[in-house]
Amino acid sequence: MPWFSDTSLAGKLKLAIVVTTAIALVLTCLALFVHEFLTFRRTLERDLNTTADVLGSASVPAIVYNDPEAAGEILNSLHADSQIVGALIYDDGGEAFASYSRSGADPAFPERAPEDGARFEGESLSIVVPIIEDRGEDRVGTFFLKADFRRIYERMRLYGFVLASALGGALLLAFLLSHYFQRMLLQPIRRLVSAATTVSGKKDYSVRVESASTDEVGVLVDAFNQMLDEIQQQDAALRGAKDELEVRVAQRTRELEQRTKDLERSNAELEQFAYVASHDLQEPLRMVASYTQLLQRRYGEKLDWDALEFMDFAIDGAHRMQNLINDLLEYSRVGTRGDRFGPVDVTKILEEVKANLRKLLEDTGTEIKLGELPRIVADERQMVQLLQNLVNNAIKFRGERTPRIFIGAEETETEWLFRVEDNGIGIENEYLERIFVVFQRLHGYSETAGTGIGLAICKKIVDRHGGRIWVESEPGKGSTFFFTIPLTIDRAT
Amino acid sequence: MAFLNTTRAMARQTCNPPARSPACRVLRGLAGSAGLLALFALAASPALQGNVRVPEYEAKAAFLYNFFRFVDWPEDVFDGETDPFRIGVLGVDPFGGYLDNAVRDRTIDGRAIEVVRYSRLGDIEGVHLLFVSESERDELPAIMERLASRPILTVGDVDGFAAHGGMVEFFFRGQRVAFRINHTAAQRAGLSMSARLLSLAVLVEES
Repeated sequence: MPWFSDTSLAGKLKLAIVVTTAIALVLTCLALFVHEFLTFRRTLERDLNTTADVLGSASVPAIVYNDPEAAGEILNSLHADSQIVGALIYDDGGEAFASYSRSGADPAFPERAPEDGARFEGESLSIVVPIIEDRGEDRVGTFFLKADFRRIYERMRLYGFVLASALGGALLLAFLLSHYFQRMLLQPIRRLVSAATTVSGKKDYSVRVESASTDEVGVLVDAFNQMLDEIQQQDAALRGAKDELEVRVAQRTRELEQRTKDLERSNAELEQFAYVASHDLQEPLRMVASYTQLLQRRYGEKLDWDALEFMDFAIDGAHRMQNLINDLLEYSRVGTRGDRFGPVDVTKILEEVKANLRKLLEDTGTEIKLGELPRIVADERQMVQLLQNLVNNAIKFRGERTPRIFIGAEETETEWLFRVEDNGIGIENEYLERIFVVFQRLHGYSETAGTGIGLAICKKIVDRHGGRIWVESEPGKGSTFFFTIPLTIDRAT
Repeated sequence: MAFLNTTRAMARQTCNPPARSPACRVLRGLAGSAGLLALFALAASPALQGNVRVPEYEAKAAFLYNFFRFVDWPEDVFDGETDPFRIGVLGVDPFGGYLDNAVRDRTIDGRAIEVVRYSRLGDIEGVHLLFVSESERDELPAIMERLASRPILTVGDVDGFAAHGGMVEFFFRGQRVAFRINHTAAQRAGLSMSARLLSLAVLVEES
């Protein structure tokens, strides 16, 4: 009943009172009505019995002395009672002796005296009583008397009307009273409602409701007031805590800002240091390399093969050291020279990678296949670095077959999972983790070029983005490098 | 008489008074005229008298004992509570066995009813109701004088019985037995009669 639950409390209360009253009244009236009807019937039966006894008794001599006219005259007095339809006296042989019928009515007298007793038939009551002469204790005849209910019906109609009027009046009164009652009962609830609305609407916790009674509503009011006290207290405590927190946060922020500034300064210093170091470190190396080369050229014909070979070694060593320094510089720059993260289209990145490695790709005939690549939030430049390194490695460590590389991406709940698959020579199980460590090289210097820092740089880039990088491999078949980039980057640098 | 009975019976059965159907009226008319015819026959032929009186006296016998229902005798006429009512028949008994049949095993007020026949007035003793037969017609004045003030209900069917001091006189109204009552005579004898009984009777003054 949705309409019922949506009506106001006042309406509900009024409805409840009126409905209850109505039911009670209707049932009572019904009971009264039925009782009256039954009583009328019983009264009618009793009256008829009395009449039959009296008239029967009066007609004894007429019966005994066989004077039907005299008996008929006695019966005719019944015309005074409009309820009587007819009466008939039977003699002791059960034969009709004298009768009376109401004008215009047909009492349908039985031909012979019926059994004693009362019979209700539809709209009439007939009684059959013996006519006794009591001095002789003889039954001298039978009295048959029939009455209809018309008077009863008239009375019932009147009674019904009276009851209906009383019912109507009582309901009206109930309705008026209910109106008054609901106002009286609901007033404290209304005050509570208004207070609650104020509290939730204006967030004013100082509102209280006056306690006016000790019934359930009073209990509710007290509880309400108590709750508000607590809320006010907590609110004050919260504000205090908030203020305190704000102070602390400001403090921390200042500290952090200070630290950041320090870090930035130290970063800058480190950067400077690295730059200078690399230049300063490289300068002597260049000298070594170039002067050795000079020696080779100027005095090459004067030297033997061994000497020339020795000089090659020296130059090569110097060059290697230069590469190492550059790699180290680059490694350190992953952290210090990182860009802010932004939206990055991985497909575009791979275009750049392919462009950068064009010569290598052409020379080796490498095929690169791409899956559906997403847009991610990352450092664009470093992504290029990362993928370029991985692709480079894939080509570098190819086997006999034409290198084929597949790059794909998969979205999970929290991150993008990228894969770079190749069909190169693969990696032994024991080395799967070591390869990401700086300068770990698994093959002899002669087999592969490179300083072994590429994958370390990849790991550092992935770490900076909050992801993970690992590899799965089958030696002889190929390797698949996996790395993840979180969907949302929390740190912005 | 059988014819009379039949018509009477037919009239009662099919013509419940006060029915108005033409058939009823015809039958009743028939019964009435039959009755008249019978009366004439009665007067005309003495041979029939004996037959006519048999059912007539059956009715009268019933009427007789019924008087005990509607008449009160003074207390002292009874020796005790179980003393029977006594009906005396003075003169030639016209009832045949009807009276004995009528009173057999009946009680009124708890009293049985006896019938005693007398041929002489002097023999009468302890009687409550005395039926004076037609045969005593000539002796009537003397009888009345002798019985005056005794608590005996005198009944007869001689014409003028009541006028001459008798208390109840049977006569014919149509074909039905009716009775005249001389209430003064009854009161003189100390008998009290029910008003209902009186209302059925034709009241007669003494002459």
